[in-house]
Amino acid sequence: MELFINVWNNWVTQQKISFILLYGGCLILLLLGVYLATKNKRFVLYTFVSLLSSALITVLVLVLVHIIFSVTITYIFMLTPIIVLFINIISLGTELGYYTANRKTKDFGIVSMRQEMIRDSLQITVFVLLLFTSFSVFITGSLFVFVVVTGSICLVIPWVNCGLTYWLLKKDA
Amino acid sequence: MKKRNFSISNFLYCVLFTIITACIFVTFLIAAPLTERLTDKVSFNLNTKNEDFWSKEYVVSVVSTDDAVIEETKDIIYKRLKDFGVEKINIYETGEVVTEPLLEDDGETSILDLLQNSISDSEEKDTTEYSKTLLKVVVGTTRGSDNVRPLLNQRYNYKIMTRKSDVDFDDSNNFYAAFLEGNYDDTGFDSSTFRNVYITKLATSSGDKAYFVIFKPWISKIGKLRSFLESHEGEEIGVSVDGFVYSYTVPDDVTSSDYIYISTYSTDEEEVAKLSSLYNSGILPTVTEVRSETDLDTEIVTVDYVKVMIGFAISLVTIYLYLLIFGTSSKQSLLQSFFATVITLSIYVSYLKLTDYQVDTFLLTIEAILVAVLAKVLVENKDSTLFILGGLLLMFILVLFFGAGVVALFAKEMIFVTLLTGICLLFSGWYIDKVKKL
Repeated sequence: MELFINVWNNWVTQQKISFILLYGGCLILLLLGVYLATKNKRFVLYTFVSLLSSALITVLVLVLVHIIFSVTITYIFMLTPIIVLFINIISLGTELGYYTANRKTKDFGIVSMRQEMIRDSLQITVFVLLLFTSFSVFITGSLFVFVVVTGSICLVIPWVNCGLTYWLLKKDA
Repeated sequence: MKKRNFSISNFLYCVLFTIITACIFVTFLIAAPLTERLTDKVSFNLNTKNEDFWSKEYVVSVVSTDDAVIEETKDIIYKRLKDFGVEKINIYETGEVVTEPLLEDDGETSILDLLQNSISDSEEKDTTEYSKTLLKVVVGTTRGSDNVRPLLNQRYNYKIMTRKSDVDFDDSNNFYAAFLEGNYDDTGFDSSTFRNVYITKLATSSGDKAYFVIFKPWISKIGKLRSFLESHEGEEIGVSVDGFVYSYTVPDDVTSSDYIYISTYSTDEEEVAKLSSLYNSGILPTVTEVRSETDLDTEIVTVDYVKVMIGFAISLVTIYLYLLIFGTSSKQSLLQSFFATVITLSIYVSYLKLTDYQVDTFLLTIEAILVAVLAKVLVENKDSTLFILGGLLLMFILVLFFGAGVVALFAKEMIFVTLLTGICLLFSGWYIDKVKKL
């Protein structure tokens, strides 16, 4: 945690305010968007936990990489949360689209939603894994670490969302 | 054999499709790596930032020990560097406080320094000692270092002034009279009067175009400023910036002009960006000096984009073959997403090449990966298009506004690429459908 406290303390006030406005704004506006689209508080909670999980996983992975592998967290790692958020929005967006399009149909249920989620997660996994792997073949040094770390987090996020559907979206999704 | 009737509309349709297909091929060829070597008629090499990056650590002294002043100084320097487009910014206090007289600026000698030195050679130099807090400012950028340094040590305190009646501005022995602040009276109009300082190209009296600085007042202060200008119609007034005065002739009819504008004497776009940052990012609250600057190894990461693009193309084809063989998606959706990915990236890279836009090669590669994922997901989940595109654009707009350096740059490029992906998906669906019917 010292790593992040040091980074935070070295920021100027404007950086701190921008950081809070950026991620706070993303969180609030995405939750508002989900609520307006679904009118379902459980889905909003699911989105909130998903976004929070992705943030925690990102922080945790960066800390572990720094401690275990003594990797210096350089400025390019500022991109990691943005790329992770990109993948998370895609993952959540597919589920949201499926939910809003099918919630009034006869066959809709939590089981079909989970199946759809697994199918989408699998596709995202294949794409992210192969494309990030192909990229990492040609690079070395800090960029290699950045690609491996960011790619790994991106692989985990859709499956975390899958897991969250079992925990938070049980019957009355 | 089925007979097809000839019709003008079918013929024109075929011609249109041939042209569109040719355009796609040309775009693809321009975007492909190394194709610029095939012709010397048009230059479309990808302009990468790889060799232009530099990194420096500046030690800046701030003449104050007050925490609030130090914080404000750090904030303004950060905002200036951010607005100027510096990719990597790190500002922190060293914890040292030194007591010494003001340093002489050892950097580029400004016009003001020349003027003041010529006048005050005989005057005693200021030897008063001041307590100074030391800051370290680490930057990494492709922007010119000549333009970065002034962002750290120029206050940019500007105000509107009127000429003193007892000074002879036409005296041939006192050529510098018009440039010195001491020869002017305060008017009360300063940076707090203006909401924005806008720099743009305008026609000069000789018909050429030159950059002018336009001072745009707050709505609540327009009336007062207009009254002031009306009372000085046709007169020469001045805009003092850190003691150096730029002349401005008030027009004879000020009712049509609410703004004051002065020439920048700059022709370089980067220098204009620096000026804009200096005018609009706040006035440094106290004197700051650059004590030293040390070259650092660049942390900026670059990749061999030719190799990476070939690797990316192979991976993309492999993924689609895999998806085709295992039948996880329909052929139609695979074709549409593959085609959309290729067109999006071709148009994007062609645009970058033709406009000579300076590209971060590693950002370009990440963008290509994200476009490939996005195109596939959008084709497979048409119900989700609005949510995904809306969510992504919302996020990138927030990042663009509140992010800095490489993150803001990434967001700016991703907004363009995300929109382009959406458009290319629509186009690829339409194109494939029409080609099948031909």
